[in-house]
Amino acid sequence: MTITRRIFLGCGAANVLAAAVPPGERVTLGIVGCGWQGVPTAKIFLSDPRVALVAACDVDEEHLAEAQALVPGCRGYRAFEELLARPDIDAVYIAVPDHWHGIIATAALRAGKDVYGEKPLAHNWAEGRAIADAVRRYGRVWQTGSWQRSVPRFRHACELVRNGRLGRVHRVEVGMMAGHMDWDGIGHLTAPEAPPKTLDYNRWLGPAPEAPYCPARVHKVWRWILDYGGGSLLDWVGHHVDIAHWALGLDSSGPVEVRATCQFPGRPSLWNAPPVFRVTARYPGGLTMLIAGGHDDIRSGTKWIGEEGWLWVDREGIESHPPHLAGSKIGPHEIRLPVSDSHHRQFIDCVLRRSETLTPAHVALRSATPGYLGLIAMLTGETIAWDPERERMLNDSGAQRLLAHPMRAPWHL
Amino acid sequence: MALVRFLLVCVAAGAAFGADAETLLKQIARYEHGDPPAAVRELDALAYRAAGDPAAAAPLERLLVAFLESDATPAAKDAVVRNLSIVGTAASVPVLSRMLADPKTSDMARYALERIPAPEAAQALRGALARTDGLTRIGVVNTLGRRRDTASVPSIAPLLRAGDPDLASAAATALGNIGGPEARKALLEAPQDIAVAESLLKIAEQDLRSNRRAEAAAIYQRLQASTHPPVRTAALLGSAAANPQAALPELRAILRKAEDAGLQAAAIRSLAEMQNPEAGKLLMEGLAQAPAAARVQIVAAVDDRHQPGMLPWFTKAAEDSELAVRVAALQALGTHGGASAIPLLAARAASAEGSEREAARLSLARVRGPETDAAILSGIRTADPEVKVEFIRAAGERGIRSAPEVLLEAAKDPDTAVRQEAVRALRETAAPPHAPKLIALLQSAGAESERKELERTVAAAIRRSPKPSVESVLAAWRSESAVPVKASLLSVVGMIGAGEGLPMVREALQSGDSALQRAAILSMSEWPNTTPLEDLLQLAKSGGSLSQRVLALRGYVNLVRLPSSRTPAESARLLAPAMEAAPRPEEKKLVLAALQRFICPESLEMAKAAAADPAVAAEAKLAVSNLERGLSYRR
Repeated sequence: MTITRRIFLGCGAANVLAAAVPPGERVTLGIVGCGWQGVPTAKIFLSDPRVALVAACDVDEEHLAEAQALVPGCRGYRAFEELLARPDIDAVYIAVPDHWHGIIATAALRAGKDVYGEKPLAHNWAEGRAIADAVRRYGRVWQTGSWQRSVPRFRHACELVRNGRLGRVHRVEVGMMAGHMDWDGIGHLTAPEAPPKTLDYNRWLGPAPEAPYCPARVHKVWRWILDYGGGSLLDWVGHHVDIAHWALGLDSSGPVEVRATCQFPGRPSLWNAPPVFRVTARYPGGLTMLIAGGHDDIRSGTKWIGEEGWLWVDREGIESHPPHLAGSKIGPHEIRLPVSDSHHRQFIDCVLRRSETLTPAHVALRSATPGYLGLIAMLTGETIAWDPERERMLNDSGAQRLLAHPMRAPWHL
Repeated sequence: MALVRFLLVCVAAGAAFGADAETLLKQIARYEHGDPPAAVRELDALAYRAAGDPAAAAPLERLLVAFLESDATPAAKDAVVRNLSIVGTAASVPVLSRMLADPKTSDMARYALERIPAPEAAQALRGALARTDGLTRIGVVNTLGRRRDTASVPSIAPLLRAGDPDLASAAATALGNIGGPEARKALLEAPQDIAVAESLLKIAEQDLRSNRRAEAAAIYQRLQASTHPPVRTAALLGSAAANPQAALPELRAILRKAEDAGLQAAAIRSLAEMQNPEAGKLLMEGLAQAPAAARVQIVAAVDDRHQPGMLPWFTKAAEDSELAVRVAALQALGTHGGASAIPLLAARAASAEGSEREAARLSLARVRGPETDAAILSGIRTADPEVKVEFIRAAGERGIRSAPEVLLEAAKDPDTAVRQEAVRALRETAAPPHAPKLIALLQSAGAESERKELERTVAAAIRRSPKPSVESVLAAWRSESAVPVKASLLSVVGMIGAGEGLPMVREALQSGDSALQRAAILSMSEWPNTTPLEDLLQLAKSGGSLSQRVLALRGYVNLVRLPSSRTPAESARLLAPAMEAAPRPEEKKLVLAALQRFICPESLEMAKAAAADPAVAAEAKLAVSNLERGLSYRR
């Protein structure tokens, strides 16, 4: 009788099996950031018998306990520096709020760890560039959590576009979720109060400006506050724009001009990331990318429009005009993109082979750049001129100042 | 008094900037955390908008500076000062400079000073170095580093030897960010630790970008003696990038010596990235002596080099004793192989398991070169059943256009696995002219599972036409008497969705045979467009049995959910009769779930109305909540 490994493996059994894998084929993993995304993703990693989860870190004791419960012997840490100092850890999975990405990721790379980091790559462009530089500097393997590249439907869509099924593509439409999701109904809890005893709130704030604790600031909903996240735009840019770029071979390129508008329907709140937005990015060669949230004319997902038709893909499906185009077969003599059916397993493969993943840091930075520039454009109202070759903003204005965020002491990059 | 001064500035600046900022600042003056932030948000928006407009920024800056000097609450000042990071100039520096020395306000002052390009900002920060300590001083050092303030190097360099390790680390990082000869000298003379090493690495990278290879190489050479393994790895990678030819002997030595696996991996990666043919040769020669972990890396490295003529080498590597090495080699054969790799790949796909089988299959599907397709078709004719299955699978995966005739023969093979795989491969390759033969196979299929597979294959072949015709299916329908086969033909018609097939479906509904009636409803439910909507609605309202009405209603909702160019309101109006016709609460819940896809006032009204029904009240309330939220974020 065959029992699939995933079914057989209770997470507790995973480390036992990993111990049976030869050391050269085993990857010891630590998690930094165990809330929400952290534990489910850790379980996916644990379904790979080559992975042994040995450490977890979180500033919230409750989240940490949940991660530690996954496997016996998983040691817990409140400070990421202590976890990274362990020489027996090969790789880390980082799933912390965006404002921590740059610091923890570069520290991990400096400590010689390979990294699977959640998207977007970083809180802002400068921190993304610092991560990409550190990956290169220390020769580490990096996978960004832009896992749609490991889904066959998205790969197929990108191969269709790459192979010219649409003719010359002149426009891409990227639709994103609008608004501020309030998953736990805590958006109204904005009055300062003492942080829970289980949470090291000062550490949670880290490099972000000093601010009093309130539930509407922290877990899950931090993304709607620009001190910690970039709203829906930066949440989804690492998925749908990433796919748009992959299809068009833009992994080493970017826009030359970015304009944007945004709206704040409803009452102003603590959450200040634009909930309704429309970004227009112009690329070399005359391509225009429209990225929108909360606009009915732009459908969720990625839609490429070319001289010979259009193609749309999302997690729900794939469609095209003419209709048969979406089902068109890609032959072996056409351009084929690398195959991965598991983003997490592909990361482990690359860690063992020391080869580049599907979504390395330098690619993730390119995917996120329209988002970083779009956010600056919508806040300032400026048209951003960008040199994708040198990765430089050409505007001589206050917009320049927003490419990086100053940090609270002692944190720095 | 301070507040009076602030109000006077408001009057003066308001004339130039407009009254908005002035009004907002008055509202913000008593702001406390947790208060409604409307005025703060509006002020933020004004500051952002002024970023590119000096004419608007200057008067706003004057207002903000005056505000910081007023007796506004600390929370208000905290909320306001960050706007100086956007519109601030030298004029803001005096007030920020005063805040800089106070640990309570220092971070926010730096927030602005770090971004203000005026040299006065850097001067204020340099001045603060001497009159601050602890975290405040570390923050100042960090900001000077971020500003790349060369003039601060003489003041920061001595801090490398500070007793406070956090301050020394901040100083090292700052010097690395600033760069230049003085920073380099200070870092080279400092006690070596990880922060110092990283900053030296950054300076070496700047050297490489500026083509100062010798300077970079000197740093890398020094850091190869580091006690910190990641620094040694970085130094080796940098050294190879600075002077590839000179690095070769060292890389060879490291490749052969397995004492430090991390360094060995770095050496392999360096060789992978070198254009030099000698680097490729070193890698290939290294395979024999390397430990298993390194052999995987070598195979991946040689793969990445895209060097021609590597087929024999990868073929040999595919026989390695280690599974991971074999998998990597089989994957590489997908790019480096040709027709001659095909027998090996097919045989391995048939005999191996797990990841090795998947690697062989993927490469078989992707391998390029002349005669590859011919080699696969030949394999279908001649191979043993286990291997034949793999050739057939590859023909399907590759979409070989000349494959259908061979595959149609294979679909009659006595071996069940061969037949099944052939039908699946035909789904990827057959065209409308093959439909009659495929339908004949369907009609003669012995097992239901085979017939089900053939249904999809027939539909796929016909759909490959720009204007799909179900004529061949209709012909078979007319001559067929077996109910299971007729049900399959109905399913085929549903998947194709051509209007000319609808009379056949209606005929089945009138047949009196419940199995055919059920197949007809399912057929319409699978329709790829909304043509049978009215038929399904009528059935849902007044069909025969309850199960038929349920089935029809579900099919109706499915079709409404199909992507379309309708407005959300039009879709909601289509769901209204479905709600009325829903025979049970379960179907009402289905309609409520579908409604939430169509965000419009009409959907909201329907959901609100449904909330009055206790059987679906909970689902209706959830739909109301989701629709209200969706509507609030739509323009």
